[in-house]
Amino acid sequence: MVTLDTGSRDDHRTFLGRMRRQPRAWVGGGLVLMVALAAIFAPLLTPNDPLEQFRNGLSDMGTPLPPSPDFLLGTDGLGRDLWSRLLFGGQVSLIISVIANLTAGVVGTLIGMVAGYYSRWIDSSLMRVTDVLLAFPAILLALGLGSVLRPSIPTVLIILTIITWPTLARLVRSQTLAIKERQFVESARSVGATDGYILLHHILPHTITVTVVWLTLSIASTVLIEASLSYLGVGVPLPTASWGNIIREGNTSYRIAPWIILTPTVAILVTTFGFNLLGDAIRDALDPRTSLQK
Amino acid sequence: MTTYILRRLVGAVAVIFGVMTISFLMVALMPGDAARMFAGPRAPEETVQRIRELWGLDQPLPVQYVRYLGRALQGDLGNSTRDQRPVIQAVTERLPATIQLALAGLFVELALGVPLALLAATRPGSIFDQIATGFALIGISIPPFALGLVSLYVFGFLIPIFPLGGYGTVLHLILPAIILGIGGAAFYARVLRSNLLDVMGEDYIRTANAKGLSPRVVLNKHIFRNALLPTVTLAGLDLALLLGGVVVIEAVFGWPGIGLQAFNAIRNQDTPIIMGTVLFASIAVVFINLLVDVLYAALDPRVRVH
Amino acid sequence: MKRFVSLAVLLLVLVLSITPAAAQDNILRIVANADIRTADPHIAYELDTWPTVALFYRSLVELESADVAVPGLAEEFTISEDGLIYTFTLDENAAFCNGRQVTSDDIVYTWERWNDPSVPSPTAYFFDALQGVSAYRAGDAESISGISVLDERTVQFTFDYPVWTMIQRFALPPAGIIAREGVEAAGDGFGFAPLGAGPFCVTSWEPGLRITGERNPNYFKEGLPVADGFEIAIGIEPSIGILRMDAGEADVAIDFVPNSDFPRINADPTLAERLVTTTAFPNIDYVIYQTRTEPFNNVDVRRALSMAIDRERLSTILNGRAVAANGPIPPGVPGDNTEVSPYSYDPDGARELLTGAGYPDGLTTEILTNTDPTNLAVSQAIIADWAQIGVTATLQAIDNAQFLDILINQPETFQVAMTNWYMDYQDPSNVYEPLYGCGGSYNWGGYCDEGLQATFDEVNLIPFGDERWSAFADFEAMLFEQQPVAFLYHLQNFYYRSERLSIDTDAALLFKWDTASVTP
Repeated sequence: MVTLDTGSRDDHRTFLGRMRRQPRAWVGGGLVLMVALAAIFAPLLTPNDPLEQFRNGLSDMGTPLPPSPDFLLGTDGLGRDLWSRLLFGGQVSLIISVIANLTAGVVGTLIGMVAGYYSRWIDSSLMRVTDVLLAFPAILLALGLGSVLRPSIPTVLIILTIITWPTLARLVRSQTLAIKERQFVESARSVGATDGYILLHHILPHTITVTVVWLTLSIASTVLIEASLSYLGVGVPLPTASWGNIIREGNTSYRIAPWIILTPTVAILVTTFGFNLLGDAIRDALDPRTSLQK
Repeated sequence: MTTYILRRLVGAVAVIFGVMTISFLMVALMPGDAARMFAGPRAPEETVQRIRELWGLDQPLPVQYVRYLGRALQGDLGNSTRDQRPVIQAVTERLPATIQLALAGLFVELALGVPLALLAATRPGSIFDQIATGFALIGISIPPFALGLVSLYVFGFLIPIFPLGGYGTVLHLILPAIILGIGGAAFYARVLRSNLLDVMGEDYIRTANAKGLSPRVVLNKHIFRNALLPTVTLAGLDLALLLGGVVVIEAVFGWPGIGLQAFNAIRNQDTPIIMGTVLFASIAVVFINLLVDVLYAALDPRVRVH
Repeated sequence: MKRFVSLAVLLLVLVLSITPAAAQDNILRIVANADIRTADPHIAYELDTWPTVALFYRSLVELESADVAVPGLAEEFTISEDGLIYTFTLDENAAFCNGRQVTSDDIVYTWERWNDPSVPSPTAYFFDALQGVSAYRAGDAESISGISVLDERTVQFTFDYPVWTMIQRFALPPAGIIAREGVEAAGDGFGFAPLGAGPFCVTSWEPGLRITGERNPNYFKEGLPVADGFEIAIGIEPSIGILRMDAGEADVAIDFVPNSDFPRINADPTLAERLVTTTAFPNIDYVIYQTRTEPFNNVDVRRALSMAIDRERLSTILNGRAVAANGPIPPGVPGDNTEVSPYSYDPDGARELLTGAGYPDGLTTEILTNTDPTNLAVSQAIIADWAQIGVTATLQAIDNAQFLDILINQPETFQVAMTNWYMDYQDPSNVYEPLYGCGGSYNWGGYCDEGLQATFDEVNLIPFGDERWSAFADFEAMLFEQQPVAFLYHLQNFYYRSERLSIDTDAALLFKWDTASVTP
């Protein structure tokens, strides 16, 4: 259903060409890039140490300070600079989300392919595990795991990976089921290719697109879940800043210092919005049939 | 059809068994001491030991596990270690509040999601579409707990329309239901929109249009009906997701449902309540999924073969 | 679309029609944050369950001030010279909610249930000194030999050794007299179906939602309680509770005024008037050192780290409600030393001490605390202060259940922990014995100084009076020198009330609920 009325033919055929034509790709990509740059260059963009508790960072009554030239976004309950905490917190939140999703991407793709390819008991036992994990309310599973393991950054990574991979495994499995019936898999098998070879060279290339789209969209939801975990107290340990942590600490004083929870909220919104836009654009560019330009 | 349902039922039971096992293991591995929590820090060790014996916590894990399963089969999930009430009673008491919130959330989802999708799908590419799609994207991008806090600040404190959290009247329900529903509505609008667009591309719709039927009739009679089936199943699945989202919303708004109960139970190491709430929630998820699948299979015979 | 509009209109009408109205009746409206888990006097130990117990139960005596007891359900009481025999005579009018008169048997029953091996009471240890109590707890005796009934209204308690704080323990909420028929009728549910001789009788208890009660028509004090009944709304976050009290929708909160609301209230004279101070439960926030091992078995390391904490800044963070601690005994408690001054912030001196103790490059450690927002904030401030003298500390913040598990069950595994202590009764022994005494039940850092212990044992034998208090003041100075923990500050906690409420507080019960008046 792609119309070929404007632009060169090549422009529509390549992935990048299709990406380039979508405003969503530009906006989403721009937002993601902006957030990523802000996080990477946090040390250059912030005048203050995110952990320093400034003597002049609290009012005489001990309340947080509103935005001022000294503290661009104001201070928190301990007199720390919120602008610095926001940027350094973004670093932590983004790195965690990306790593957790890459791990979940590998685990989910592997398990999904194996389950879909071998069927029978391997399939049913693997899928039963994913069913159990999916039946667990994600946040309860996360809270439970959070109290079994001590709060730390590796713990957060483990939790996020565990609650993320089952969905992908299901997607990849159904893709694999469809692909393995196709002609080229049959012919590879008939010339004596091993299962491993087929999985790696024939199935993986066809499932990777699903994984990429899913990863981009999933980073968005992982940023949200990471923030929820920190907010509920099982996320990144203090005093390290993360967006969820800032909200958690500002939670008790949101009526006298609403800026503490507002700024990280906006940051999370911008990040997830960017990743969602980008994910949509990638999906449409990879699979023109579902494109908006119907 | 019957064998299909039976097979799925066996699968569902297996999943619930898995959930019970995992939650038991998780709780068993949790560092902490429920007996000490009950007795308080100032109680002497003998008191705490006595409580452990009373509760059977001094038994080895496999024994505790078999006992737990055995009692669960008889409908006994043990007693809360915090206030000594039966778990079944404590959880079922909180269930109505959660169901109320989840249904209200679902209502918001539909009331917001369906019109948005229609608006977007009937004029694809238009400014309406852009706005509706943009809203939908923002909706799934906002952290619900932060939105909850901000809305409490704005509509509870700055402009005091709604009560500041709590439970009781319709007014208490509105804010949490909206916050709970917004994310779902956005998700919903996206899926329904693409379903609608798919159906609109089908040949019979083109035919109907070509016959000169009014666009309104085509939309109501053909497009909407055909796009609705996958959407209804989505609503079923989504109720399951909603139950998960309920934990955070209940914690923010102090809504006395099983989400808040589970959250507090984890903080208090009230292990029987943790297992009870997880069990109830996952049974709900599994059976909603089952119901959706069976409905789907009944409507589309191809599914059964697979 | 039309339906949509009409739905919106309907909602709007609903919103406009339900406007919150200030309460007009004579019902006391209480708000509480956490779910109140019990009103069983023998099970309760928390800051929110004790005031709840006090709604339904009364004890034999009351505290007029920290160390002066006055009659409660007992119209008179005597303590023998040697502090071994306590005799109580019940007030004739003392009666339970069901109308039955309180008799000697009820006193005996109360203490027997309190110490019953099948009732896991966290407060039973209050009466460790009672004659025959260990045999009873072990199941070797049918009754407690130290309690004897002299007549229908008179009971005598005999102790193995004198404990001068015993009369205070008789006044606390756990010592409320319970009715046997209430326990027998409710069984396991007694925590939610209280039956006592207190100012109010329970009418409904919905866990997690609300508790209601009406005035006890048989209350032993003529004309009291003032209010017709009460209602506790549960699950109300403290700062939201304050908004409710400002709006006249609630009268009092069982929770203290939170940090974030204090500056606003304190700055406004009309609101500040509604802060309710209480003399009950003086407290101290402190940092425990692991004194069993290096480096904190070295007194100079402990002094250096204590000296490096800026207590003035801690007070700022806590909105000026914290008084720097010059030792473990809170101000206002008899026996507090008023001459020793707390450590002033001295990073240079601290670094010198640390170098002298063999740590010129500082050291690395971990602070353990629970997820209470105040503890989190204070711990982070301390971490920042210690960083100035080269001490690198990380924060381990865990749920209270796990926190207590580590402190109590594996006390040797933590290095530094931040926590607090609320006194049960106002005598210095209640600070020293559990927290710093050799083998004390709350002495998680494992501190033990045999010389100090011997001094304490002598001082503690002195009966109530100036001699005891001055001896304890000297003792506090000796303990301060040793810095077994970093004494941080004493927090001034406030309750908050609505404009229409007037209520008295006392040293044992917090609120004297029978005096609560909500009529303007």
